[in-house]
Amino acid sequence: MKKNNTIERQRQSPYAILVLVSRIIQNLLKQFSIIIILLVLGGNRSDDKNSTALIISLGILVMTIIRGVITYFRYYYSVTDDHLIVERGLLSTSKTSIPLDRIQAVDFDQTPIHKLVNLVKVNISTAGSSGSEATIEAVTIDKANELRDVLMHQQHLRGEHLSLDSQSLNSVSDQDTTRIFSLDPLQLLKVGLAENHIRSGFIIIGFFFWIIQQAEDADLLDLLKSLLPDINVIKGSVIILGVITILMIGASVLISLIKTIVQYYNLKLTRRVDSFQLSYGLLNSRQFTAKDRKIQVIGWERTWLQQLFDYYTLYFMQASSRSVSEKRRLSIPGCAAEHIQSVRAHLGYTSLSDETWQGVSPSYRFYGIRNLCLSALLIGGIILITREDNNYLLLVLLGLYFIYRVISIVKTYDKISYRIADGLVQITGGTFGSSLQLLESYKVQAIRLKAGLFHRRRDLADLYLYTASGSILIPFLPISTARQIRDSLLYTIESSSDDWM
Amino acid sequence: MTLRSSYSVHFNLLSLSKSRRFRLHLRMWHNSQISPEDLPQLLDTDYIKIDKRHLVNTLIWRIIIIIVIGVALAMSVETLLSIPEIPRSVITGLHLLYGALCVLLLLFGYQSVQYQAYLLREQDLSYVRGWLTKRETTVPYNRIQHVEVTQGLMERWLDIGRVKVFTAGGSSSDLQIPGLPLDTANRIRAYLLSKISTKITGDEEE
Repeated sequence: MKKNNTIERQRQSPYAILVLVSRIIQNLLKQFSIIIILLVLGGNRSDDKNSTALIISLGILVMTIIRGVITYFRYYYSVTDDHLIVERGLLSTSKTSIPLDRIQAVDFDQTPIHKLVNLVKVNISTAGSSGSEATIEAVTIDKANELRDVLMHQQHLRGEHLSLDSQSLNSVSDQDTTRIFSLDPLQLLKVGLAENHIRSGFIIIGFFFWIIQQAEDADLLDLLKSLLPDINVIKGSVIILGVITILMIGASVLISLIKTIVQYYNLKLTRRVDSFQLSYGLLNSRQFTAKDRKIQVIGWERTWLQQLFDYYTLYFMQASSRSVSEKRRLSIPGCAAEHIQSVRAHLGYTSLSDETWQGVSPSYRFYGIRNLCLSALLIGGIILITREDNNYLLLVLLGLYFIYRVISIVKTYDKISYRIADGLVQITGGTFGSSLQLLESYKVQAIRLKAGLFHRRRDLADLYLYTASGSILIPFLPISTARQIRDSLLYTIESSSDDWM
Repeated sequence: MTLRSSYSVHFNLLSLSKSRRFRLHLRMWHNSQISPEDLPQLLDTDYIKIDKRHLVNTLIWRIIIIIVIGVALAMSVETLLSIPEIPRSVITGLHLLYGALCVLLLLFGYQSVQYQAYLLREQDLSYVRGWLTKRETTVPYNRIQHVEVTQGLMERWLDIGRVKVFTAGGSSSDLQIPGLPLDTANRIRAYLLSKISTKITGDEEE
């Protein structure tokens, strides 16, 4: 086994030029798509224009290739004892050096072009100041694996459980990975069907409006009307509306199904020494690595549809760089309860004591419904004052929405509970589905108690736990309980010598 | 093959739960000496109110805002008056609205300063603010990323500063204590930095 903890200064794989050039061309196409379309549409008229366009595009192509070649030859990466060093630059030279203990994750990414030449793209993300993310565009799989091992093991040796874990490190070779979970095609189909179709519904609606606009332009509507002369206009429009609705629902299910299959195809979650590896993707293959210590929060959730199909979506949250607002969240759809148990066991998030789950104050329901009624009165009043004949439909819709909100507030109240024991904070939630968030107490970064007028009158407070991957809220706690939780959590954090990342 | 994989599952489980048990053990050992009643408590009475000069700072800034809005209002009223279709009542309403805004801005400015207070303990820093909605934030020293002292224009003139404490918990969890006499602010910063660095060197010794 290689115990070498440095990687000498080297370039990427020569095929990186291909990847670089294709990426630049892709970006160019994206940016100038309108101009290109205009050129294609308008250039037909004269051969003169056509040839200039050809020359210009050839010039751009040559420039791009030259740029890709230069970028390739000016790009070096290396790993010294405690830094990852990336040198790059087209004309100027920039040298980024990232301390290894700041590195949060090393992820692999493969576009179809990468697959063609059997290379991977390596994304290195850090926690810390902005601009310290690094990307290595294209290296061979072996080199990428070596890089990840060096970056990850180095951190490992610097960790505090040196005596415990370095032994296992020595005896564990690359083959010592265990499969925790993999998504078989049938499960994948289920996941695709239980996806959130509303989002793809919006795409369809957008497409629909585009079609209508096109139809109006081409006088298609008149054509349609002339084709359906016998049918009563109202009856016809109802039928058309019904058909369109069914088509739209079918299309959105199909779109999200295809999207899910393309994204999560061949999903695998494996365990290596002290990290989880997640890989999936049909066209773009991705591989993520989450080290135990870098995982801030884990959780699982399911919507009512997913409850019907009986699976959970498990997720890991990792600390992310301050500049990136989007937190690092690795989702693993299609998990069964036993897989979650196995992940918990691997992380050591086991519950020993028989501490019970606590609910929050019933004032939660009262507060939610009171606010809802107030806003309903306001909106209803405005509608009634400015009443027009066709507003009754709106009132009915608002009434239905009101009832939905009341039900969801009551349901949400029933689902919220928390349990703080064994150095773990667990919070359940959900409205029509269910969810659970779990974190180790010592990974909390800051704690806030918040109490508005309503809360103060009833001696309540909201408790916010800030972690390196977002905040967690336990609402409507009795103030004494909230203070007690805060004090005991503070004690846990302050007396803990564990490194939180 | 199956034997090997099952062995490695077992092995992984064992090695990890060992380290976890070790940590749990440590934590239990720490905790065993303290019952919930003995836990150090954060009490409202211990908080230190921020300097009165911050009130001056807040009010002056709010008065500047009021003046700016007032000028903008006066200018727009002038143009509104030249349009005959607009009834007088609209303009009176605007003036009333402006008056209410002024009163609210000054009232909230005054009251918010009354409720701002901070508390330094051996292991953590707390800050409380808010008149109607009270927010009490606590940051343990061993979670602080870095500390800053900043001064605005007015604050420089009043010789006060604000201590900014950054954690990894995102911008909403960062603390900012305004209205500290500058030397106090600098002393707090030095104290926090010393706390952070002793924590780091302490870790290295372990």
